[in-house]
Amino acid sequence: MTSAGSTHRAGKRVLVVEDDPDILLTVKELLELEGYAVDCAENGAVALERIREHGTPHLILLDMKMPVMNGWQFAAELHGRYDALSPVVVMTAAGDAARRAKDVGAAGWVGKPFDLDDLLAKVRAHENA
Amino acid sequence: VVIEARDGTSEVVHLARTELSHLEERAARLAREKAHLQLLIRLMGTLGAAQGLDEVIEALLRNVLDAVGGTNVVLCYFVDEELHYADVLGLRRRLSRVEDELVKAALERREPVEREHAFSDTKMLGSPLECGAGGAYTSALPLVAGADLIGVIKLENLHVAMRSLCFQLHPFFDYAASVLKNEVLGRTRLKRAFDEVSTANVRLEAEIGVRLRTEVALQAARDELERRVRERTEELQTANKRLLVELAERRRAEAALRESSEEIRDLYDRAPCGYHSLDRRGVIVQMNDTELAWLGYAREDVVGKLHFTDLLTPPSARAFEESFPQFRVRGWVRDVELELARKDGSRLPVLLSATAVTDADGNYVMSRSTLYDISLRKKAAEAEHLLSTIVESSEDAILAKDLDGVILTWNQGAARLYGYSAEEAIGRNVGMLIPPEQPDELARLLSSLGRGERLEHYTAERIRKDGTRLFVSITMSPIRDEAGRVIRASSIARDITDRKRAEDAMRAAKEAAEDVARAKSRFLDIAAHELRTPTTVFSAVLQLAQRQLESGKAVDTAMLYRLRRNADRLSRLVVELLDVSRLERGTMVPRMKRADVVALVSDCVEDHRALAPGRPLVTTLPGGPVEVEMDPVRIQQALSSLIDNALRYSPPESPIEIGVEPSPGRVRVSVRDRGPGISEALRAELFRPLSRGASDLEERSSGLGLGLYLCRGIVELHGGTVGVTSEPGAGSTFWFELPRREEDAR
Repeated sequence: MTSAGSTHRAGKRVLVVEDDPDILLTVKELLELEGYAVDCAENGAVALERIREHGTPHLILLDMKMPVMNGWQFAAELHGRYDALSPVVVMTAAGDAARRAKDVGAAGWVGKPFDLDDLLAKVRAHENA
Repeated sequence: VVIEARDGTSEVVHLARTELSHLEERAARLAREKAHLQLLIRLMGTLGAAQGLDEVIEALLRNVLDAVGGTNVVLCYFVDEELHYADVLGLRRRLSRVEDELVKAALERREPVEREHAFSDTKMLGSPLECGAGGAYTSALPLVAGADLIGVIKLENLHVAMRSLCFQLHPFFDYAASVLKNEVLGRTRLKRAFDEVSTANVRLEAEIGVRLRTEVALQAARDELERRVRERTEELQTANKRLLVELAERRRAEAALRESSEEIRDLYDRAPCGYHSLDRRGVIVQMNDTELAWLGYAREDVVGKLHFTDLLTPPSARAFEESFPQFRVRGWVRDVELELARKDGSRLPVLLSATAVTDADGNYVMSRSTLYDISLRKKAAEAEHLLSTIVESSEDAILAKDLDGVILTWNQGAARLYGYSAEEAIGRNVGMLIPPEQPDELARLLSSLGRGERLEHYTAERIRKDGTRLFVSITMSPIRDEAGRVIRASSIARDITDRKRAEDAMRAAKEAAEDVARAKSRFLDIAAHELRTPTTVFSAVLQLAQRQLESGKAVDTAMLYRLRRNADRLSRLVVELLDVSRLERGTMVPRMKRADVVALVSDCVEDHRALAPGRPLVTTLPGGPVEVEMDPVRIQQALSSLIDNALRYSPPESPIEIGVEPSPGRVRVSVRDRGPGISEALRAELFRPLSRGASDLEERSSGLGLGLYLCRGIVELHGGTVGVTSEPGAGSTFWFELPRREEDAR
């Protein structure tokens, strides 16, 4: 399943926005293992930078609580500049994940700590073709 | 016979002897008659000239004696039906009864009575020559005027030869009777005299008329008499008429007077005010029913018996005694307040005004005093006084204003509350009390009052004269005129500044408590997030490792480090939470021992160098050890959190400077970074737990944000202090100071 995914997902690019370096790194390694190209950003501002550099990704995994620019600010900027071309999946430790996802116009959400199969399923379900 | 004419011529007439003797006799008779008439006229003239009864009587007696002689002439006459005696010898007396037989007979018979007797038994007063040898007689003649018997005149011891003369004198006696009657009437009571004289007049006129016809010889005398009588009659008639008119007028006047005085009496007695009069001693000489009713006395108990002071309360009586003498001199007094003491002991306040009644010489006769019952007015004044005392003594500010806001009244409470005296406030606008930032408040209040609305316990801010502010609770009510129009408004304001402050403090405390609750909730969110981060890492890394192992790949040692780091992080979080909990509950107990601060700082810095390779940590330390009493583990924890913060909030590669500065009594440990600096507002919040400031920090970094709070708690447990100095853009210096004993300094 994992080996099949690596070929199947070739060419898809995911932007992971997460302030905790250990989580960021682990999610990056997981997605790369599945064949995704991964861009990393430790906050919203860096994420916008990455989009400017590399274009809109097929999906954005977004943490909400971050220094410098948090998930809400980032989502507002993203929608303002890029017409929500990239679907967003929110990663959050908060209890009201569904509401937070709706607030920022996200396609889906995963709660922290997350099941990696669940995370990958959400990514696959919402990534742009 | 030679007859001489009046014109001086004479002629010689020849007469026979008998004829001559006849003529001579006739001439003698004529001469006698003429003499008689002349005597009569003389007598009447003399009598008519006499004035008054006594003079008339005297003249009558004297002239009769002179004319007819005799030994005495006696007149008995009536005055007011009493008989009086007068004779030519000057004897005058009243007769209780008539003893003289002759007089008595004349009185009874009303006609002349006479008695003849010999001369021998009389004393001769008259001339005997003419009398011859004949005898004497005594005659009593009644004096009658009209129908009235005036008296009797008695001629004593007349010579019989005088009889014819006496007879000739009868008219004189009639005249004398009339004159006498006049004079006698002059002596009687006036009213009766007038009445009698009026009727007598008529008779007299008739008598005179008869006499005119019969007594030609008395022409001149009668003319004279008539004239006098007419004059007298006219006088009498005029007097009589005048008297009658006067009497009628007087009766009319008396009736009118009686009527008007009854009316005045009625007005006097029933007036709605008290009237009385006091004599010069102050004794009541009259008092009206109204005042008597007020006092509860009967008139007879008061008038002429009581002094006015008996009807006054003692203070009023003293005031009256002092002012009464002045009143008598000045003549008036106005609006004096006195208190009447009623018979039943109760009191009645009155207002007294009086004028003095004086005689023609200006001497005081009595007072004319008017009293008004002012008890109602007094009661009203007392009620008003009571009300105004209540208003004045009220702690509340009570004022009235018109519908433009102009202040009309201002009580003591208002003066105390707002600082303006009544003089300063009255006439000014209440707008002066209203804060300038609420310019439309007054207009709003006045317009709602104008609509007749009442405002209750309206809370407003006001400005005192000295510019300080206060909060008042105001109740405003419209005041209406008799027609129901709102003309002004009353306002009662109570200072509720203290209450407002207490309420504000309570609200602030409540808000603070809510802040704490919110902060706690946020803290729990943060804690959950912080705890979930390492658990998320554990979970994700382990799942990834599993996948890699399952796909035949090796597990990287970096992944194990990642797990280790997060396990440490979790453990630190737990310790931190426990420490906060201990600090909050006061159960953190430092394990104090004597230790060297310099060594502790060196060790701590070395640990951080190992954890953060590549960051320059620069120390500035004293040459020797600085020993203090401390819990080295806790102090190291405090210093670590400062160094952690410095590393976290400053650019990578920027140096961190750590210093130890001993000074007398204390030692300071400081950590300086080259970060962005901290705003002043945030600085104050830094050392507080669960504060709003923490939320800003939270956005900057992970972690519970309790490091500085714990640092402060630990340092304060050592009796030290913490602080921060910072310049935005130039970094921050966090420091703590620990106390040092003097012997430590040596």
